[in-house]
Amino acid sequence: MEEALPRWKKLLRDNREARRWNLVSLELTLPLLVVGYYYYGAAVPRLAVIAALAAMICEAVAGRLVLRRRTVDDWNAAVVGVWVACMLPAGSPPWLAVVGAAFAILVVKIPFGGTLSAPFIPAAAGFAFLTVCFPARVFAYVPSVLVDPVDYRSLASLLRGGQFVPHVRNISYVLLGQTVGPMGTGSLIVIAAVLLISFLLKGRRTAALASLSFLAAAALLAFAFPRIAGSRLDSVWMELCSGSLAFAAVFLLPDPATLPRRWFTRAGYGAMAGVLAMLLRYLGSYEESACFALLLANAAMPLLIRAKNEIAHLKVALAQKKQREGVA
Amino acid sequence: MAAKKEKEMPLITAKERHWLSDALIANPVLVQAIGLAPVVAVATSLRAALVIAVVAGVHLLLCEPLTSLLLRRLPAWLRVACYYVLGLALVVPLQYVLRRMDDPIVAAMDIFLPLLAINSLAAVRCERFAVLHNTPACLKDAAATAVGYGTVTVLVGVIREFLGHGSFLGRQVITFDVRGIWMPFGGFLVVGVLAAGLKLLLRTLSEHGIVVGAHKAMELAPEDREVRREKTRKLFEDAETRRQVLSAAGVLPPENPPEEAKTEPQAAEPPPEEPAHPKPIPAEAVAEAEGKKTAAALPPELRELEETEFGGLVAEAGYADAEPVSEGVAAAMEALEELEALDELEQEESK
Repeated sequence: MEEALPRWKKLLRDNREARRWNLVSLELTLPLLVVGYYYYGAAVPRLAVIAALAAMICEAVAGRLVLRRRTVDDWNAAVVGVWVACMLPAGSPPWLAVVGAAFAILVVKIPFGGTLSAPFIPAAAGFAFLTVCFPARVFAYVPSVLVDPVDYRSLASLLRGGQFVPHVRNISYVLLGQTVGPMGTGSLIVIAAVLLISFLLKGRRTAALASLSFLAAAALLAFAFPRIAGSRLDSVWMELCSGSLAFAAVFLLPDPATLPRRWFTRAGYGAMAGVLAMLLRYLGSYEESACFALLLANAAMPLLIRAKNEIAHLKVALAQKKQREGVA
Repeated sequence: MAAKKEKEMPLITAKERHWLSDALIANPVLVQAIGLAPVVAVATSLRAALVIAVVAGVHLLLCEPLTSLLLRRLPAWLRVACYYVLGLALVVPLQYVLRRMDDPIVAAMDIFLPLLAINSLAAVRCERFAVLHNTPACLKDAAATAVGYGTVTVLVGVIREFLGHGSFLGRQVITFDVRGIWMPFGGFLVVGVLAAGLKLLLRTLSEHGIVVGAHKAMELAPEDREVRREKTRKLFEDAETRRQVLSAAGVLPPENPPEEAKTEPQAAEPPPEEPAHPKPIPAEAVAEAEGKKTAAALPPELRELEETEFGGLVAEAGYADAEPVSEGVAAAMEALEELEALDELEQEESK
């Protein structure tokens, strides 16, 4: 089985490499937490730490019982916990983040073998579980302590209602994340900076390509089918800045376990997830749908890869048959 | 572990264990994964779970013996249709009665109440078991399967009602509301947790030496498998037993020496004390001598099955209610199946 793994996965199997990947992920998440702290106060880091601790405890216990080995060393559980917390409102009760993190680790990650074996992105699954089970709490956003919003509804719910609030015309508010929304995902400028850094980091470049194709597909659909009565470009900015769309694209999508191997497959995977996210926004029940789109893409990608391989084998078999017939 | 090797490992075979233990070991929902749709989609309360359990159980208890008595003579495609007609005969009056009583269960179960008529549980058990076994065995299997299915369904219903509504039998116990548990994915989660719990229980039982069936060999640790394998091989040391087993299984004993002897280095002449291999006796002659029907007398559909995984069962049953040749042969035949299962497991693990 070891020989069948691609080189990059074999490298990550080494705990040291996995730990480095996850610590870099945590470092890249820090700016978002800082911005969240600036807007919403101490609730942001507190919730993030509680979620991270809960995830690490769950992984330590479940890893010993189920996988019979120590898996918490690679810090992936902490990353999952922090990411689940980032997508929640700042005023969320701590138990909400704990439940989401615990679900992500105990149901989505550990039963399938751990960090590199989970078929779904654990943080996305944890947030999706919270959305389905506690939708009122997950979308109970609180306004920032600094900015006095004109509207206490989130950007995503405004877009869903087809409304266009005048103050949102000032695009800088939107880009800086000064609208009501999740505590750690609203600032598109910071997320774009993280994406740029990912392109510069060796080992994350092609992963960042998947994020870029996700955002490009989502932007294209937002441009083609705007949900607001304004310019199409405003629609693009607002769709990208609302909810956790950009956060899911840059942080959740490049999960090493689910990301395809080749760069063009990654680009296709990202584009598919972006299209799904926008379709769910247009047609789904919840105002935030990026995590569901990621889960659908996780489910569909292996089937598409298998179909592609079957077609390739068929082509080879046909070519060989023709060759034999030609020789005969 | 060394102490465990020396400990006498009880070789409880499928024939010796209690028929009701199949409700646990071969649980239709948690182990075989059949009949999942009603459990996952509809068992969101205890009342709904009871309706599903009763309907599925009665359907099974009707179908399996009937299949064993009559339906196995029909072609497979017609048999399956008969199972579903029986299911409709059960469900349609039930739905009518419940609607007349204005029971809220009908509204809660919606389309899934009529869909119970085509539950895969009855069709799968009948095709896998009832077609090949006699009526008393089918009744036992139906009862065990119904008990197993009903128990899991009720358990899932209780858990989902408590976690989803905080209630028990419609009465509020605590203020608790997790909407996701009502949904099918919540049902899958609960079933998955129960399946993991059952596997843990069976593994613990096998680790403590309480081996409950032939296929429990899968749960043994590698060193324990070797012990079991040695015990099984010893049953075949006797050439006469081996011949009887292979004859009774419908496999002609080979004219050449068996595999164990083939691995020995070829000597110039065989040692004088080694007994000459007996002349192979045709299976038909052995079967006729024992008063069992031969393979040639099997109907075409069962003859096809004889060449598949069910061949052993067909041969063992002899297409009749005949008992096995002897207790030793019966034990050896089951041990042979177990040996094959162990070898398959080893091959899979070596991949």
